[in-house]
Amino acid sequence: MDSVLRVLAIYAFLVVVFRLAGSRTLSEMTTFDLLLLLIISETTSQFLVGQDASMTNAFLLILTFVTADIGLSLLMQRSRAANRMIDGAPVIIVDRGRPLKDRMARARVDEQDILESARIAHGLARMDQVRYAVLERSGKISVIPAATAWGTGGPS
Amino acid sequence: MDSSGGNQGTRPGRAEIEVEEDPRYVAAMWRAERVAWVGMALILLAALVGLFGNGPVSRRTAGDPEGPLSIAYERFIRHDAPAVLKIRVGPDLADAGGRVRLWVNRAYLGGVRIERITPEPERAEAAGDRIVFIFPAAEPSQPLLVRMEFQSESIGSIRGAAGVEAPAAPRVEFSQFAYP
Repeated sequence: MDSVLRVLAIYAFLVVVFRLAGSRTLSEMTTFDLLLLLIISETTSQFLVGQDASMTNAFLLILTFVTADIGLSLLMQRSRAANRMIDGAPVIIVDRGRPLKDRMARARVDEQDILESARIAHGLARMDQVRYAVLERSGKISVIPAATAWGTGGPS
Repeated sequence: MDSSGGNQGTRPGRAEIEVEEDPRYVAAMWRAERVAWVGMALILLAALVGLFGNGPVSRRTAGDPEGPLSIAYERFIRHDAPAVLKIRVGPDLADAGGRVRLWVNRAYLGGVRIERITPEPERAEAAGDRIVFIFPAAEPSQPLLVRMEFQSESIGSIRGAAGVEAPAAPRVEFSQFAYP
């Protein structure tokens, strides 16, 4: 019994902690994030396995994790509120070329992050080449360049 | 230009870019984040101070350290984690055969798993609601220091009592809280 309970407890804990840490925490694989991932995985495994290294325990732990994941995804599918709560919502942080400073501050994103995404995704060099930037639910920043396809079919 | 009612002037480019924003949710989430960070910091502070074990707030002593019997223990322990009871039996409490009869109540021992007792008792006897550990006292005029290493097998409040079977019958009680 306690194997299942341990997994559910850790799962719930991790979901909540990562939600509250903000999507920027695990979004990019910088060195720190990698380290975070490693340490979390070590600690979790230590607690879950404990003294019990039997095959049965391993099967139970894995099965519970997968089931919890399925359960969560079903829940998120059924309930928009749950989906919002767990996955978050995208946030526009550059609007028609204008960085929205207060949103950026709250989301802990600075102009350098946006420029980096712009360079990586589109090879853009400057902020004035960015029409929109959106902080996605995943924590990644997506950039819509100015000019290019603009004016083909979009509203004025 | 904006097709949704309400606060148009501040609502970023809705007509041009199709992004499913939810400003109220996001604002609430950001507030919740900040609150949570304070909460996390408080939990860490509590841990540093010993509220979850292993810290100044958690170290207790039951009984008089100079008296016939005292136990140094941790008020907060954790399930399945190593913990120690340091028991000091005062001098001149050995029985006629030069042995110290130290007892601990069964209820406590039932909830923990003793890993090691240093020095090793000669034997342990069951006597009603207590288990008596018998230690040979090499120097009866010196205090006897016993170290019991154990792991808690239960969660929540556990109460213990210990004493020495001697005419003076000193006895102490202590309680611990085991976090899951």
